[in-house]
Amino acid sequence: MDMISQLPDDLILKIFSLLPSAKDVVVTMVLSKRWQFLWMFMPRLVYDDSYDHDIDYRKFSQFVDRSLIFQKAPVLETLHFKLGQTCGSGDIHVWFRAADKCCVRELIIDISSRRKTQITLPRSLYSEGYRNVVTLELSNAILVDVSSPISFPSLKDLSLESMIYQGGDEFVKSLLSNCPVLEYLFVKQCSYDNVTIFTVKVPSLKNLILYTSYDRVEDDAHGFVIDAPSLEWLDLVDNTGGFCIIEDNMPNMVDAYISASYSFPGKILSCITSVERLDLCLLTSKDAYPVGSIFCRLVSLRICTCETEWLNLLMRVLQDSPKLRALKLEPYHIRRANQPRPYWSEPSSVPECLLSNLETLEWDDYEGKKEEKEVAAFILRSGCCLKKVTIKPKSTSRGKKLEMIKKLSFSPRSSPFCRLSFN
Amino acid sequence: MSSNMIMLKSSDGASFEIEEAAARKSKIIANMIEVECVDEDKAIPLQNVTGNILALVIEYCNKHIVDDDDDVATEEASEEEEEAKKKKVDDWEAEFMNSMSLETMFELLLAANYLNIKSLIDLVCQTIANNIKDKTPEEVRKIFSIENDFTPEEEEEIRKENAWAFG
Repeated sequence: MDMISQLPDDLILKIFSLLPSAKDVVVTMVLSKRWQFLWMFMPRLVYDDSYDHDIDYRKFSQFVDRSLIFQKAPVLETLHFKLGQTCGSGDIHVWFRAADKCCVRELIIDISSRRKTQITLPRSLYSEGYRNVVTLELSNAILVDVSSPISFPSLKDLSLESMIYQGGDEFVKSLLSNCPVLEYLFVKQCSYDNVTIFTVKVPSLKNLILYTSYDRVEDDAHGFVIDAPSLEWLDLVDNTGGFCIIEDNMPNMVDAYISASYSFPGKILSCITSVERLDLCLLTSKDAYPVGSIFCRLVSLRICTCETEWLNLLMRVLQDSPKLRALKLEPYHIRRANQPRPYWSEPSSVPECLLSNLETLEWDDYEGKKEEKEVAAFILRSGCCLKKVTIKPKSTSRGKKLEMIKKLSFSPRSSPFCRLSFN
Repeated sequence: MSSNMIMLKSSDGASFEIEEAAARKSKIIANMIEVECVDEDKAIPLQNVTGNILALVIEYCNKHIVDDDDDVATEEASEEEEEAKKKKVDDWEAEFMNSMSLETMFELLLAANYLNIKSLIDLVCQTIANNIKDKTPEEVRKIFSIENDFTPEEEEEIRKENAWAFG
């Protein structure tokens, strides 16, 4: 017999699980007698309606129906639907019923965002058959409200992208608080999701990503409430101008990325002072966090230079981060036209991190404006431990670039080991 | 990092010296080391792996132990550096798999399975899967020299009964 057919079943099933579509697996039934029934045990089912543009939807839905009926694997590691514009709620209902005899570990329902009408996911999603789901990824669909409490006792990873929550704020709150071992949560809120205040109250949560889509209307009433004291990683992007309330300190926080247009973001930073790596883009420096907060473990800081307040924010965080070793300045977003330039005033005392820890400064899109030259010169002049300063100028003209390089190269440096490079 | 060396002996009697840290990529060998079944001057006999295949396994383990070391040393490497490093490993793996015949590939898979080296099993299975995807059954049979033991009538019957799968 040939070598591939001689492999033990578990290795052949492993190869099946690495094929991108269930179709590739099912057709192996005609290879030879050895292969006739193996496909029924494939542990990973990926049904892709967006795979082939010419695909006849009726054929696709029949393929899913049949292959799910024949499915014999006791545990389905992955059940993944990638659905296009034709699929209806009724089909999903049937497929959910057909698959709930297997113990599904990872369930992914990825629906095209180009659909005109949203699919409502069946109630059986909350039934016994999906109790053991460990990973659940849903996108562009409607989650129905149910009167009985929902519970996912094994769920560790949950991703909710552009979902609509029929039961609104209360449903979201109840859904999340009934995931007792949830560690990773990704939420991207679309514009009409029926939720005003999105509450994340999950004691076991370690990673949290909250995005609001750019087309969501600005709304002061919109906001997030976070109560997740075990959180280690926070990524928050919200430009609705609402709010984010953090109920409890998060002493295990290691990485945080916060880009928000809140007028009073104050409480967020004061709850994550243990952070080691921090990325910030805020509208305000004064109200960014209360006076007296110290980021005692912060070693790496990135500040977005798109808002006028960036320079004041930088100087505040530098003063309050004695251990800082690496600093990066770059615009994550496009600066608005006619935005006032920041104003530089030299601090009365040199921040401790400059005297004893800061080793690298990286500056992208350096324009050589007055305040930029002043802050760069200040850091070069006061950074006693600087080793590497990398400036990436924005200017296109050679002459202008050369002038920027010359000006910075002649600035006095207090660290004898400081290498200045221009890219 | 321990630089202890241990000896492995293939089924055809060839001996190989390998760093303990690299050998630990194999769960089986790692377990043997844990329970102290490894005698310092005696080679570990691997009855199911021939010398030429064992040499490939060791080449893979050595390459990946260096990468793991790098991870520790440059914990704060930038994203670009991480990406560049990942690409280097991917390129090496692609070249490594490219350099062998199908027959060797299957022997390597069986050896990785026997030694329980998860990342190597994944790598070989992925390479085999890449040879199956988007292919017709006839093409798959040809690539892997699979003998079709159905009679033409039997195959026709299966295709007819499961027309949904071949549409």
